Amino acid sequence: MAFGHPGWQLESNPFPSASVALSPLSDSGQLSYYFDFYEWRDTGRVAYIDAQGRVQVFQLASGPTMTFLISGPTGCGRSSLENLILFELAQRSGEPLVVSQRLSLSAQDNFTRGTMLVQDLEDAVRQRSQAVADTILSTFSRWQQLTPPGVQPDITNLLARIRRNIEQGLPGAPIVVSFDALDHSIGHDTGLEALEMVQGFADVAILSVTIPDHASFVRSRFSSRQRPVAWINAPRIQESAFRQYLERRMGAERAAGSTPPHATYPLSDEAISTLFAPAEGSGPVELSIRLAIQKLAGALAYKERAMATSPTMSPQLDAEDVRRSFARQ
Amino acid sequence: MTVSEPAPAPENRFPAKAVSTYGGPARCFAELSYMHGVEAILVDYLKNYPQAAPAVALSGGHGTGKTYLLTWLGKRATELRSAGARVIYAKTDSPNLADAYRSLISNLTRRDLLEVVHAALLRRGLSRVQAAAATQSDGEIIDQTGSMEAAYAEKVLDPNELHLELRQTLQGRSVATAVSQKIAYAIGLLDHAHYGEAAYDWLAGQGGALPDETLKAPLFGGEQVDGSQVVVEALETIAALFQVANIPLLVMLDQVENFIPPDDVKGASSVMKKLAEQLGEQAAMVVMAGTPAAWEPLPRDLWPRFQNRKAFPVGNLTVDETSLLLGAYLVGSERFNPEIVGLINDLSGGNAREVLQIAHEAWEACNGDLDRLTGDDIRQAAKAAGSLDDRANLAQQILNDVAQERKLSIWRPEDGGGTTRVWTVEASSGTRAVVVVAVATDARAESLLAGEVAGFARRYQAEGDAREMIVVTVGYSSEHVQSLLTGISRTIVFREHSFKSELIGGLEAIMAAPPAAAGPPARATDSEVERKLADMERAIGEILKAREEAQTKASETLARNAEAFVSSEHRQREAKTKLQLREGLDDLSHALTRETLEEERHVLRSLLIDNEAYVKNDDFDYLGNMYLDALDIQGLLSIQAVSDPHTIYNRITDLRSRLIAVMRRAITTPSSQLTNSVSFRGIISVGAAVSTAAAFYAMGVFTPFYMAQIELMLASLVIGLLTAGFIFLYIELLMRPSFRFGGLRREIDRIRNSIGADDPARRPGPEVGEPSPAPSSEGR
Repeated sequence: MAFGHPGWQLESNPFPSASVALSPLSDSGQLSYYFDFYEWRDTGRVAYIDAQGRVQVFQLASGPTMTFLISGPTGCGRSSLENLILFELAQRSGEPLVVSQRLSLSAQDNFTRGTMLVQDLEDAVRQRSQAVADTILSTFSRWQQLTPPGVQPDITNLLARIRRNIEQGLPGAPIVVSFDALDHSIGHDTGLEALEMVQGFADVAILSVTIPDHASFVRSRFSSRQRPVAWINAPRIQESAFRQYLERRMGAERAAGSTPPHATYPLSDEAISTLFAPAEGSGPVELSIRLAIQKLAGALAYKERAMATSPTMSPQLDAEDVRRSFARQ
Repeated sequence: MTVSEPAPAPENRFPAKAVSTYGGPARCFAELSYMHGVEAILVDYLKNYPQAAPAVALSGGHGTGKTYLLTWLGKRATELRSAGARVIYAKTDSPNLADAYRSLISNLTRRDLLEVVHAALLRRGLSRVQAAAATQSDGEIIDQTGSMEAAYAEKVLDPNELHLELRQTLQGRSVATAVSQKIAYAIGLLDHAHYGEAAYDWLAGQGGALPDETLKAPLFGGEQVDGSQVVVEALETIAALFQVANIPLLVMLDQVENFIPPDDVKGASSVMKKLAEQLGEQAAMVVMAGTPAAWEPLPRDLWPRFQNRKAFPVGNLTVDETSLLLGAYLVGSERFNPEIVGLINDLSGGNAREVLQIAHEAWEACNGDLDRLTGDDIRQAAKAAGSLDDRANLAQQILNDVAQERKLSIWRPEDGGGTTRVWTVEASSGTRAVVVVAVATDARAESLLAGEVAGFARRYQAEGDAREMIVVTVGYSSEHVQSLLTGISRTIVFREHSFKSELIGGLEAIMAAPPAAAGPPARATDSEVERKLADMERAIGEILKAREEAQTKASETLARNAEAFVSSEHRQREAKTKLQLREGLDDLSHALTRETLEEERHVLRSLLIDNEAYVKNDDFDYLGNMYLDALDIQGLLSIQAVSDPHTIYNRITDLRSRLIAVMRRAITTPSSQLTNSVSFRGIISVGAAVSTAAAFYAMGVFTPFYMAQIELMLASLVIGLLTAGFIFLYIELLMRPSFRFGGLRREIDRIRNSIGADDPARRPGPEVGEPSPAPSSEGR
């Protein structure tokens, strides 16, 4: 069984997860698809992915909430990185209770955000323990009853009570709150406020943002308050890094006993360069990892079809093959 | 034997007060010589956009036509399709610049702003995908569909990233970021499903409840103390949005004298400088119009910011232009004696509004018999042509005095609106009268006013209140409408010397009657009054319609006459522009040789604007747009994989070269006005029809085939008509550039279709580019 044309000497598809985020928690085999093109801004806390797909430096703060900031545009591996962090956390502290919340303009205040978070957490807990989930519900109801009408509800107090419920009912299960602050319509303070709200409640808080400046803003605020924070930027990838990635992937999927002419075969150097070729008058090209893989997968599919009509054609993809495939995607 | 009644005096042709309102009913515009200097600046701005944005100051007294000029400039800017400019206008009614800002933004709906945001995002998205060969085909789709949805769905582009980048760009355009940050954020919220409308309201300076802390406080007020500074920064950020979207923006501020307080001329000057500079930096053209008295005290350091370092004078009609203006309002053989026109011009100082007001008074003085007018009449008319508002105030003052003298109670129960002021006068006996003081600026306004008075009468009738009305008309007044109003009221035309006695007479007549009994009037009276009112309203409606038509006709006549008057100037300008177009075609040719697509685009855009502005050659416009299509295909060539790109490249280059030659011919030998005219086509068609019909008839007569005379005639007629129709349609088609240059168009289409058609892998089947290609059957 081989992938694509037999002449490609590939055992299986080198890019099976081009359109979805990698998730080693559900399939640890996906660790091998990770490639370190991330920019680790706090290497003392978290840094680098090794050849096995594991994070080399992963220092969780004991006690206070550890905050991870992940920045980058769509398709650059933000979600894959978040899943890798969850995987590393599970390896060290047990399977985490994960609550994800998308920050939006409609739910701006901490009360709305906090109560939504508790409801989602209760759902996550119920999958593990009905009793603990019920306790959370009754804590929530009591908290509501104890809040006098017209008084600003104390969401921090509620979260502290819920945390105690979990510590007692599910000891050792780390609480992870992940905020998606990608929506451009929310203000730049929103992510910061959301993270502040879960300080002391969550073991790990993750904030995903699009623009590095926003992550930098939160990081500087947190650093000045002595809060443990680590920022990782997921940039668009450049040709040199992608070439290394291809060498790794092609090598991993190479058919046993095959002797390819070069490491990225069937992709020629020119084919890879064409993938990153700038338009006339433009500077160096950077593509999201997802887009680069999709374009490459498209080129492979194109070549496979072209070879079906012209069997004498060389199996190697050259620049022209890639160019032609661009026009058809 | 009947005695013939004297013919009624013709209605006054001139408005008592000529007012131009921005955005008012679109009428014809007369291009007067003073307008061309500013127009040239506008066209240059649009041609060279976004390289240089001028600020223009217009100076002219009240009534010189500043608003008229601004309206015309706005129209010119939007007429030039190749430029795609947007215009925002505000009249500054108060020293608070925030009001002007609100007024400016009210020119843009939320949808308008969303379109600009969309254009800005589209440009950013396009530039991103076009920068890489891998995504150029996505750029082509964006370009063709005007949408980035497919690129978003494919994750080629990140909508949040584009929005946030746009926000950062807008913030970065202003030195002071406090306001620009908020404006940029609000702009980003415009497309929000729930808060988009509130964001627009906030942006328009109207408040708006937004949940985010940044926009909780309104744009004006709150912590912001200096409203003018906020306005400048807010406008700068909005102008920056237009620049990012590549849309020229014309910002027009009228009556700037209103925001120059005498005690803070320096402060106002500083704001004007900032407006000119900061909006100019964002490639927006600013036009400010004010009176000479407003500009005069401003410090000298203001002027380097404005075009030509001075204010352009507005108005100052020449004697010839004054003659044109007056002539446009006259009917048939009516005309002013040239000496009288000269005198009117002298007395008015060439101020269009005053010219018309003097003419109005002069008409009144001579009852429309213009030949009778003397110099003294005109001088007297100039004196009488004062402010209508002053006269209306005087009428009210006299009314109050009379009420006091006669011990009548007087109060103002309601405001009749912009033109009418209503008073109730009551005698000690309880008898009441209603006095309506109404200002009519012109014939149309008088008709509207009569409609309003009829409305009052109808209301009083419905309420069972049989009070009598005295209608005092100030300004324009005609016998026709007066006689109609007499049916439902006593009417008095305000004349300062006789008004008091006429008013006393009218009030005495009403007050002498016993007070009207309360309760509903008798049904018979009711229906009688109803019928009278209905007749009157119908008559007023007809008068209004006729007067509106007359007003439009006057505008058209003025525009036509002005065009004829400035035709030599037009011809010179057209000739000069044609020369520029020819030179521009040389530049285009050089750009083609150098193979710089962007330069070709730029040169062509400039040529198209020039053509639209001054030459209006349809052929040139059509060919220019074809050239743009050819450039698009050239762009496609670098993206699409084709088997023989060299040949296609040569074809498209050759086609562009030929297009330049055809465009040159179109400029040198345009189709003549004669062949363009419908009557010419009609004459040719009729000529052809007659000849064909005659030939057919002759054939019928002189050939042995039998045909009855009547049938032969009918057949000849039908054939003649068919020939006429055919010839007319053919000439009509021939006039159309799409028909004449159809060959070139088809060639472009053929080249476009040929791109990608020879791809060996192009055949039905699963789309390539799928993320995970399926393994081949051999492999399995």
